[in-house]
Amino acid sequence: MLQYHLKIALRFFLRNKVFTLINISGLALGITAFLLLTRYVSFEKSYDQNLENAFRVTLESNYGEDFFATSAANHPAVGPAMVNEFPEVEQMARIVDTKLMNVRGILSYETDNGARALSNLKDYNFYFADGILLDIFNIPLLQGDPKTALDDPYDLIISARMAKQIFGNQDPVGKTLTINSDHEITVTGVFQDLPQNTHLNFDILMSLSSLDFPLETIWVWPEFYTYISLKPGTNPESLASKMSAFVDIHMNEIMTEHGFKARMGLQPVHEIHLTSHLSKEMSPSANKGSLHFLMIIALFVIGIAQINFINLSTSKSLERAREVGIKKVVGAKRYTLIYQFLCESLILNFVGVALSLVLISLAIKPFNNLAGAEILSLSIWLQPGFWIVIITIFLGGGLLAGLYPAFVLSGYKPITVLKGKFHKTIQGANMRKALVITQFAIALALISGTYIVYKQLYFMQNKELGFQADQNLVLNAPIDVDSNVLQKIKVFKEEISRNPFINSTTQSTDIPGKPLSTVDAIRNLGEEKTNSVPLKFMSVDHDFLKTYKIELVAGEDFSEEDQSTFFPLIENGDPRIHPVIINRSTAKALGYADPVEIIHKKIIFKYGPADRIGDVIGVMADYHHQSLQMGYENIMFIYPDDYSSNYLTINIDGHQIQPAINAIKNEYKKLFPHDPFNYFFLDMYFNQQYNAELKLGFICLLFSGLAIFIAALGLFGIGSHMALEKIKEISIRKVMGASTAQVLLIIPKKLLVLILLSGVLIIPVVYFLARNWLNGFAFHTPMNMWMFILPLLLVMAIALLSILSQSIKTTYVNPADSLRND
Amino acid sequence: MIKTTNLCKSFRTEEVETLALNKVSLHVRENEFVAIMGPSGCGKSTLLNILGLLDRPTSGSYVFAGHEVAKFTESQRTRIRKGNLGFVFQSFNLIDTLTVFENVELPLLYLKVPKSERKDRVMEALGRMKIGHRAKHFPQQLSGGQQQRVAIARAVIPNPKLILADEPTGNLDSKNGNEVMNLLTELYQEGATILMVTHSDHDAQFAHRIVNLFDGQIVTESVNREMTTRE
Repeated sequence: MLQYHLKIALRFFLRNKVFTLINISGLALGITAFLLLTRYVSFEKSYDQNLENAFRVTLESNYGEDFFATSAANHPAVGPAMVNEFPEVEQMARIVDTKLMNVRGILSYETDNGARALSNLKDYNFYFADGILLDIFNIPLLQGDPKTALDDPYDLIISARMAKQIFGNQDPVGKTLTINSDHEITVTGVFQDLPQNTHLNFDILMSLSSLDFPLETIWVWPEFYTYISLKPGTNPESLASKMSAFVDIHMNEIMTEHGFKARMGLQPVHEIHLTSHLSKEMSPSANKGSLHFLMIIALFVIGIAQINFINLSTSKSLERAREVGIKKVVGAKRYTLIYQFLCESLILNFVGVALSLVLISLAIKPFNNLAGAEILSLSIWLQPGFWIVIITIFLGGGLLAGLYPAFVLSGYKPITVLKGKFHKTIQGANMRKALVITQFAIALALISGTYIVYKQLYFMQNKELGFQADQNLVLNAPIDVDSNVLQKIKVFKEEISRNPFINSTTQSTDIPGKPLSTVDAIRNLGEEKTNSVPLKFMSVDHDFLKTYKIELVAGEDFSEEDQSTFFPLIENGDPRIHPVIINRSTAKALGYADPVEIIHKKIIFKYGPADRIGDVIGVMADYHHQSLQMGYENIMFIYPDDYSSNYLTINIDGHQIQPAINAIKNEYKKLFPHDPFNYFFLDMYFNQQYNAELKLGFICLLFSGLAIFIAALGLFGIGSHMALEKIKEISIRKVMGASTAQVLLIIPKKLLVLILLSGVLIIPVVYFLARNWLNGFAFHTPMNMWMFILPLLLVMAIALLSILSQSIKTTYVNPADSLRND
Repeated sequence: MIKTTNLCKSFRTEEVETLALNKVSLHVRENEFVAIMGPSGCGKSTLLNILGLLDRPTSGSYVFAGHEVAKFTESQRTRIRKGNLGFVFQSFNLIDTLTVFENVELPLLYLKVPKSERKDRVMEALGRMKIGHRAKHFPQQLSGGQQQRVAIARAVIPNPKLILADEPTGNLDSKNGNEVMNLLTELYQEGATILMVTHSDHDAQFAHRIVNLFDGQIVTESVNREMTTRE
């Protein structure tokens, strides 16, 4: 019987080529989209999943009354103390970014062909770490002794990828890397490349003992990621409950002295990527909301494809009814017919799934590019999990979507069908209408959602940032420096300023778009520490506001004379007063609504290990130092007389970019011959912060487009059915004298009503979700009705286009033909 | 074979109740060829559908082959229909996606007749209907007359006790119509019981007995002398 059903099904498909083509292509596209999206989501969920027993010790600190900032990094003494005091802690490892330890310089090495290559250390993910880290994270050491590879000072291990990149085919162990032409460091091991799905992000590790500090005793340096593994059977919650006492024992004195409170917590490593959004994360975390959103899109797309199948199948009822009637008359039981229709549904789903596997193979490269990771590869064909999903989709889709049409079609009464009365009682029509409304609602939600995501992206990329982002070229500040560096930078600035295409140049520790790393607190002179407000600051020179065109709302800009000396430290109270510029938010936080009033008021802030006195010489307008997702922060500029710059920003003439770059390069190479010349444009750098949103926007656009295309395909199929249904009515109306225009509108009118209905149902939902999403941004585009009306119009236009040809065909049918057939 | 007593069938719409059959009592014996005649809307087809177990009477008794079937459920009726009843329709009602062979094979398939036997029986039936050479064609490749012969082959293939024909020549020209009527007569002569609804006096003359319906009631019944004599 199965063979018989297969044969009949095949014949039915061949006779109904358009129906079959629409069904199969819709299913194939829907299944492909579903598989790709779920693959992406499951990749994001797979981060560090094998590390059930590993935890990160996080640190919360408060400034002022309520402000708690949770940091992913902790003090270096925390890990060793935990191992000593808590028997349930098995191992501990700390890891810290070398950049934060002021390791700056040029890395040089001998390449495969004997030449010397230079690169900036800043370009590497270079960390100090305890050797146990590899154990905790199960990272195999491919070469070298895993027990001792990071034991001694200046031991250094590199990833296999890095080894290949630096040394080519040579054996890397025993080779030397040179930092700033005077420190030679020997490679002691090679570790296996980190998997893509880990929150860790390093290529080079140097032993933590290379840092010449008594780390076991330092409780005020919250820059060290601290990981612990627990002994089997330990309840992490009971350990976490002991942390409060632990903090009290070790930090009470320091907290009282510095006027802050601290708390520590344990964070399961396998939850970091999805749920942790702390400050100082080693790598960007995923946005769980976005992943849910993508999962919804995935379900929507496959849902639309399956709805198409249901709708098209039931719309074939007129054509299938007679077959059902006859089969019943000659003795077919209902279940035989259900079995037959389910077979058909399974066959279509099978072909759809098979085609989607071909599409997925073709999509591997573009998909990985879009996702920014090697998520898909041909090895998926070997993964049983993948096949389980495929088979579930095949059977689930085939049976679920097949069941309803099978019941509708098999339920026809032979007498009704065979007497030709069938067309007066079209069964399944209401269900079909409901499904079409669902499809439109999904399409509308997707288009509206995509439109709002893009609107917000446009808003963020085009809002006035409070500084000039374009025409600013940024260079890495020289690192191969001597005591004359400040003088040399001065010469560099003067020399390039002679070029007519260059407007101004400034040096700074940070630039907009890069989170400010120096975080501390500030208070008015004479106030208690508990009145401190959180603050981020950076070092700039007297050309910063000018180069960045940041508005000064009160007081004055720095002049060259405002440079102040911070080091060496002065014991027993530092009497030096440092001119500072703060932003408007800081002035407000310190209690000055009118910025003019804070000018030349004294404030206390900490820089390095000491409290300093600042003299507020100017207040600048708030500017967006980071993406518009974040609000304005309290920011302060200082102007130290030592060299701490990381960046040189040069404002150039936008019409003469290349000549300006050439002039800058010549001068840079002349003054800093050993430094690599690397530059980038600030606006592009700043907009990189929107990469996650851009990716989300693009994925929404792509898959909404796909969903709408599939829905339009289905509509085209249903259109022909509607035309068939309405052909008699149209003929009668024509006989009665209706004009072409009047009858042309009969079919579209029905459809438009359905679309409007779906709009009424879905727009409130989209409005609610969009409002929540937008509220996640400190600055967002205002919501307006066009966000919903435009998508509605677009869906209407697409729907009308899909059924246009059918409507026209029906309109021009000869009434004599259709009425004679009745 | 068939005995109905006071068979009634009414159709109810929201406001109106129409009595399609009104106390119809009819007795058809085995190997009878009965024609049911009457104007449009008199209830002929309704009667045929009930007798063919495609529909249920509203009231009254219907005994088929010794079983009271008036109150049978759809699945019970399907079971009785299978193999016992053959249908011939005015509009042939062949399945477009099946070949001539497969259309005729259909009832045997549901009777779970083994494949080799099915093939022999189908080819034999098609041969009898002089349509064997068209076995692999699809219905729309055939003329109306040929299609109706396929439909008759399908109706007779399970050797049913009763053949029900609803206007079997209604869609055919006179030549093809005559051929179909001759085929039905042959079946009757071979022992089949045939119930035929028709408008056509000419077709009715092939029957053994003519029942005239009017407004849902049997108004006259006459024995076709010519037919009886012909026998």
